[in-house]
Amino acid sequence: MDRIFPFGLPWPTEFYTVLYVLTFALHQALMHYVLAGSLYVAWTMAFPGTGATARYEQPIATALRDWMPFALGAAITAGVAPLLFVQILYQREFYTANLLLSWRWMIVIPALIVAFYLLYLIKSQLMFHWPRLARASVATLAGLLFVFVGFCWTANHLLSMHAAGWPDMYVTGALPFAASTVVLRMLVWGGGAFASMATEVAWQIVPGTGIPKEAQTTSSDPRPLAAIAMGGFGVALVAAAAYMWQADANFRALAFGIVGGPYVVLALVGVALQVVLWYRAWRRAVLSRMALALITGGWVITLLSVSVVREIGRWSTLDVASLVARHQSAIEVGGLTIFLIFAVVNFAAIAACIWTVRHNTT
Amino acid sequence: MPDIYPVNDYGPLMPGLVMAGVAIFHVFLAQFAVGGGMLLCYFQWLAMSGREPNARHFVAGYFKVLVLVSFVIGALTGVGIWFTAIQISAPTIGAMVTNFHWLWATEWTFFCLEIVAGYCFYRYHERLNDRAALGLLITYAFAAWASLFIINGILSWQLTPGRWLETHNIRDGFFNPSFWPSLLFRTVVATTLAALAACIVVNTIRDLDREARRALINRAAYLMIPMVLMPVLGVWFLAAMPDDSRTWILGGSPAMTLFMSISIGASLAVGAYALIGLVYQHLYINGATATLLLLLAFGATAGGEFVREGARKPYSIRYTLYSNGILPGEVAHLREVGCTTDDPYPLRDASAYPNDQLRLGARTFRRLCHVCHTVEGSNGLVGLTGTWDVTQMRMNIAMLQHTKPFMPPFAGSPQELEALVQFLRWYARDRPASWAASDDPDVTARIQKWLGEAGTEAGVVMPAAMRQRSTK
Repeated sequence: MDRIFPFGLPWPTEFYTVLYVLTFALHQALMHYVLAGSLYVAWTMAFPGTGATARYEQPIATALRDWMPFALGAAITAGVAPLLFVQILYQREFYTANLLLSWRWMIVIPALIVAFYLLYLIKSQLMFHWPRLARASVATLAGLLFVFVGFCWTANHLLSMHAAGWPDMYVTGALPFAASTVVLRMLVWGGGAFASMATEVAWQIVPGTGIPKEAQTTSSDPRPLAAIAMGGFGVALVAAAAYMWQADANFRALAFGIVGGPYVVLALVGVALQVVLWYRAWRRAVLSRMALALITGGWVITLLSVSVVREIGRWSTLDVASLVARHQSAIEVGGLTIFLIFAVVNFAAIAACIWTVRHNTT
Repeated sequence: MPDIYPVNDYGPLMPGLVMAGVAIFHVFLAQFAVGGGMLLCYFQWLAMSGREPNARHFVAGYFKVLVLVSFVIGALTGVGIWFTAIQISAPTIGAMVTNFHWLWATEWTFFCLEIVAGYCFYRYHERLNDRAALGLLITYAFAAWASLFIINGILSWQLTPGRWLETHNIRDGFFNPSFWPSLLFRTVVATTLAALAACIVVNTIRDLDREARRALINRAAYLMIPMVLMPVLGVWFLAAMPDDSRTWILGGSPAMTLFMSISIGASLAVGAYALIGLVYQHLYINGATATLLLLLAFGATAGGEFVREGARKPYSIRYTLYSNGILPGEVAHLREVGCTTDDPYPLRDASAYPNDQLRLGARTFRRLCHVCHTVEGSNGLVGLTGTWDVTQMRMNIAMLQHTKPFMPPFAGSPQELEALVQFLRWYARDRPASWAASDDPDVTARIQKWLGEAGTEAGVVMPAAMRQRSTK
């Protein structure tokens, strides 16, 4: 590997990798909203504050409570695509990690079902008649379930990269990597999730930004969101630095070399752009649409770049060249044209649905 | 050669049962979602045309149920079935994904459309004009049915790959011999489930009197009229099946015949009640009876899915991959080198076995038998072979595909076969602390002879084209 990611390999491998990274980033964007959102709502339920309006009834929490069930449904649906492409790209690795984690992996499904219903409960008015402790417990449980799901995915991903440790783990059940690795990765994603959530919620609640109308409030103070975003970046950057420091030399060489270096730079530029604009919004207590659009641009760049660096981490542990024959035979089975046609038609239909709602509601 | 994966033990449950449990539950919910979309379109039209005054009220309540049940559990069990399939037979799901991933990706675009159209309706229907609301519902219903259309092609390919065996063309695999009867049958099931669920939902609407409820129930029952097509579609599906599969269902395998009878009986009961009582006599049905009918429909779905899964034996993908994840073309090689030779995973309980031969037997069981059998639990080999003496065991396992045609050929070395026999005998005698290894060269030679006589091909008849390819 001596060219910028994903080039330098046969085109089927490049193609599937690009599709995987793009769809994974889309899934992350939605999952961040739910992960950080549920934790934020849990905090507002536990510490409602002493102001006239409880924190959980203020704009950020209101928008989150209202939209998290949909966001989770969308995140799960969006997650089907990277789940599909990872099976083409790294079938043996992904399946083996699934099997080795066994029930520790399968429990993700019931955990998500419970968390999903808790989100509907959090959205309903029913909970507001409950005592504070009960409200906080429900919201905290939902947040912790999403953290747990994140932990399972992280463990699965890391395990898929540790082929040498599979036989031992099969017998002992012990993960073949340090717990600190999982924790640091989760802190990177967790911190980033708060920054993502701040940007996404900003589009919902800052007056003049549009969607949804009923979630807009009279509050134009972007400082709470700015604080969330900057706090998230702080955690993510420190954790990322620590992770890279303890990562193996091969990964660092790829990540900071020609393969991944440009993406690391892009990620940092994206973060810097967001931090500067959030800080400006915090100082001035105003967030213009233009500033939010720029923040969103930085967020997209960061999300995609970090997803690429994550993939380079996987490449650093695998003999990717040994996988290309499988990718070549996969691309030859046919059906790509059908997918492309229906992708265009169905995403146009999705746009039409949104257009219908925006132009036909009273 | 395919990859070898670690194998997990599910105690007394055979992995196939775990898969069946998740699959039946998911299929039931997914088909409810598909039919639900169609039913909502019908009721929205009734509301718009003024034919049913309470239709609008019903649509809002029904969609809430659809969102809370189908969008949550339906969607997540859909992911769950994928994870479960990996746990049970990674080679099978791997082959399905590899061959049809672009169609699966196409299905994903329909999922996206389904969730956006559905949520737009759910959230904004009260503020939308009728035409826009109907447009969203039609979009939702079409996307849901399109996802059924796609997954039906992939699932029916497992049983009847048809011309794909010769051409490996995705179109031939997708529009395989059982595609259309299966799709139409599932569509009828979907509308039936949606109508039965509607009968329950109508009974939960508090501010309607009995007459108003009856009117809604009778309207919903119209979606069960297509059940009259079920016998024709069922016969069509049976006709499209491989001959041996059909034989097992029609009496050859008591378990499969029983499950199909349950499915037919339950469908008949639901259909008769719906058509005579609800459609013809315009009767009212209360929530308890509607729930009972829905449970019967669940039983019918479970029976049907069990038969569909079981009919593929000895394959998980007909003529392409055996149930135990072994390729037909691999059998001869594995008989020479052994099926455990390349398995990198040690036994979890290696110290529990008195000698190396039993450890080899345990690994052979894990590689070849575990996906469909347990040792002593459900479909347990100790019970199934309990009346055989040791010579019978050796011969019957060596000639497995002839002993029982729905079993794949034994795909291991004579030493592994003998180790498996000793492993089962040791278990049958309550796992004593000491056990003498058998190392009689005559026994090995006899097993080798039986394996040779049995051949490496399946016991079921293979199409000529496939046979030609496998001999190349």
